[in-house]
Amino acid sequence: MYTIYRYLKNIAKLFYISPWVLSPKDNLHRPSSLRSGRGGWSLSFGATQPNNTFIYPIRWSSITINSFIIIFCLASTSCSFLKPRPTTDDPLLDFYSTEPAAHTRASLRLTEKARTQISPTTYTTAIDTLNKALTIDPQNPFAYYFLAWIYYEKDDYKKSNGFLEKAKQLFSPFPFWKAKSYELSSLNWEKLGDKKRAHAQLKKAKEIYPNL
Amino acid sequence: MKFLKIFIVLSLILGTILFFYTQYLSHIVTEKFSGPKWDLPSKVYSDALQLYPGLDIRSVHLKEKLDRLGYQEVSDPVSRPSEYHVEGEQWAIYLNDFSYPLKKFTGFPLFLDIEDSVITKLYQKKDEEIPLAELEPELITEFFGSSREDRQLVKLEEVPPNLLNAIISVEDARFLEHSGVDPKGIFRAFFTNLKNLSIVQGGSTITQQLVKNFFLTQKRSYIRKLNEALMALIVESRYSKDAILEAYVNEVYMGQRGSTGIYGIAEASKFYFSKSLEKLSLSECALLAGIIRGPGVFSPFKNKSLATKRRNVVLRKMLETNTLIQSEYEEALKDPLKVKKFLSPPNIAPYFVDFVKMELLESYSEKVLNTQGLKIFTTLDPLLQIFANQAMAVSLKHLEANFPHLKDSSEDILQGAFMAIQPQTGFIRALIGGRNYTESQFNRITQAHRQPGSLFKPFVFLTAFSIDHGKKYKLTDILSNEPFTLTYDKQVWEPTNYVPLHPDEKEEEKETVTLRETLEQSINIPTARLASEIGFKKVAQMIKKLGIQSPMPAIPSLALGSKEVTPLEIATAYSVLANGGIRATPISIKQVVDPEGNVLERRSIEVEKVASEEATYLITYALEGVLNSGTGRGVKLFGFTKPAAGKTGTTNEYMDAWFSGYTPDLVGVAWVGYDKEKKVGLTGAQAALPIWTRFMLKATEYKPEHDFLVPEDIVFATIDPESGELASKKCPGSFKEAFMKGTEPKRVCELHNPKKKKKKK
Repeated sequence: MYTIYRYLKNIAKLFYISPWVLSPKDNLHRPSSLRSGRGGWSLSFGATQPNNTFIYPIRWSSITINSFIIIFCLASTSCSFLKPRPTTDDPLLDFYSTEPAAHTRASLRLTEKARTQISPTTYTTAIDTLNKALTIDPQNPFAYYFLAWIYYEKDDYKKSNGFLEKAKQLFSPFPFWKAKSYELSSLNWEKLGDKKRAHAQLKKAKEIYPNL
Repeated sequence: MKFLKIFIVLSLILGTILFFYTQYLSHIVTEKFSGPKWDLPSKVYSDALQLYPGLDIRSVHLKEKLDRLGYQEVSDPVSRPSEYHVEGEQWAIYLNDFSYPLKKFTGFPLFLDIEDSVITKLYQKKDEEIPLAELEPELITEFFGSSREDRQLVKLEEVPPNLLNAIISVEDARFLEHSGVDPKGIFRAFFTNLKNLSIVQGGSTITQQLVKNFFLTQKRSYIRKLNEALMALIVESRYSKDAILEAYVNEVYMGQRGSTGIYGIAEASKFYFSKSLEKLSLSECALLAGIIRGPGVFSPFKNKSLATKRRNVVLRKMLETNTLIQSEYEEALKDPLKVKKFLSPPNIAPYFVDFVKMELLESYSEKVLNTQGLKIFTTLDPLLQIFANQAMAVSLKHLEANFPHLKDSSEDILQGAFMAIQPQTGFIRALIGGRNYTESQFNRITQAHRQPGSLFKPFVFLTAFSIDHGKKYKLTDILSNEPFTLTYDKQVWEPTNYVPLHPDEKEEEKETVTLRETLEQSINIPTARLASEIGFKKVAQMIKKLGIQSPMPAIPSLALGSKEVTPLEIATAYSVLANGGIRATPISIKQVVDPEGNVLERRSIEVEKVASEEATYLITYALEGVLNSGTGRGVKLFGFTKPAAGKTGTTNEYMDAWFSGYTPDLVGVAWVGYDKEKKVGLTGAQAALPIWTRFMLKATEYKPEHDFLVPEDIVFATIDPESGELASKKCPGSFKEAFMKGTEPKRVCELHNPKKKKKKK
């Protein structure tokens, strides 16, 4: 045990892990379960050791495989601790672990465009764009989610819930977004005066994605 | 003195008459000029088409689409809107200008790189890749008032100076100098006509032409000429030259598209060149101005060389009137005459248009629709509509050829109806309300109430699977097939199973059947038994929730589809099955826009959850079985093998034949029957299924294929069909069945595994 402790101490000093060397930047906001094929976590070691640190000489021959495993576990833990939560601002395409079909990709691009149009003065433009997105791919869950979002903002909570029901079905492979759908549904029910349902929806959201 | 008196009296009388007559004419002129001058037809458009990397151009029949939109294939690189050029695997499309509801789109050359028919790259210029491009919607039809005049209004300042100069030079060079009537012109025409002893020439000014078109007939007579001159003087005295010229360029007749007249230079610019006015070249301006004299003669669609000569005459006149310089003139003469393809599209969806109009009439009067120039953007997919038209025509023709009894009566011809709807959005993509619109405008999709027969069976099962969160019934449950009677509301009801017309077709009936078998083979008795078990009221409530608006009393025969509904209602209800229990309200109109581009009405997607996702999936899974081995297996025999579910429907006495089915993204409902009470004598599988299948084969060709979404709470198990328990290797047969989580069998088949049975003991 002592040996393991000693090696861990040395290596921790040698490989100071900094959250600022995670790259690329946009992937900072992505949970590992949702990361895309082209991005993902990448850890850089070294180069950031604090000054005036005495580094013990390491007897590499005595480093066992077990100690590496422990280091790896620790590093992973620290990464998941530092890992920021995903947000609804993340690029939608990144939520596909595999390459989406062409029509889904096109539909997602329109959804991205619609997302930039969501403001009180351009709600109708955003709805139009999302309708187009759904004409191309009626199974695009993001389009339903943002339609729901717009109608929530327009105080049409019942209609918003209708879109969320579809979003919940289609978001099965995307727990974060599925949970966001339940969360928004909870807000709708609250506005509609049904606190019991609002609570149930929020509970479900937390079950699906505890770090919401 | 006496003569002087007579002269004065006569002059006074004539003067008074002339005064009152002028007043009368003045009143007519003012009335016409002060109010709206023209009736503008409303235009009905299809849905637009999006192009994007990854799209298989065969799935949208791109070439045919461009042809329908009036694009012309050229051998040289594209240089103007409405042209396209194909070179190897690269397409260039010069997109047309189009006014969309929220934006005005200016056309540009769009380049498509294509590999194996799939778009790999879209770009505007080299290195300017674009993710998406939109092809403008197709014009389906127009709503006209009393006259079939197509016109786009334009303000004078929007007309290019070259075009105004060309018109003035060739039609009335002294327009800015005279006061409505040009005496020189009149005398010239008078003497020419006198010389020829007939009316061969007119000396009309632009104002006179306007007056003639506005207020008078086209008849050539001196009385009409006198009226024309008087009214022209009145117009000139009351209105500015600008106002007159603006009215003229909007009023003038410019050509003919089928039975519709093209009026005004803006509409003509679109008609001949597919360009907005500001983009017209000098030679195009000259051609337009030249056409005014005789659109029937100088139309470039009819005679290109005559049109070129006429254009050159106009250019010469412009040079003579100093509105052109020599170099411009010479350059314009060299311009080859390029016009867009002549397009007079037939209305491919007359029943759909009627449906749209019926919906619009709830908010707008007929007069508004016919005169206010509204733009109506719809959900119609023209390609799917064409496929539906073809499927309907071919299928009914085949039916009549194979079953001659269908053509026995000349009074009542065999009718068919079909519609396709996107289940997630409710967008109606294709609609055929009858076999021949010119013969019968009765829309059988929206107006015909017919018994749905077995099409209602899935709704009974859906009700059953919705009880107790889907825990009470499963597809492997056994139902009795023994006849039974039911007394309901003091009436005795005894459901019977399907009796084929030919006794040799009758198969031996099982005593018991599973729920799956009941649906796949469309067996009446167990369905009625199930409905009676769960309660007719619950079934009726479920049917209502699915979107059936016709009255649905909770009576036993409801389970077997005795209550009449429209095919539109059936399509709505089946959309719920395809869409995981979420009902989307059918939509045919997306937006209504006025001529200024203001959105008057917008209809958005309306969705509501009405059934559980798991219950609807169980139905879909069973209905897939209908196509694999049940009454709808003809679908596979026809060659349609993509993921799909469907149900046949045949009513009592074989009066109605139905087929309703769906893929994950498209629902189709086909009906075949007579308008009068008459037997078709065919089942839904024989008469309606071929329409659906022919349509779906085309509609899904080259499109991405995906399976129905399996809900998280659905599990699959391999089942022994005899015992209904988990199949083992020893079981002679097995099949995969879907279950609501927790209801799947836990025991391994004991029927074919006696050893295991022993061990357990």
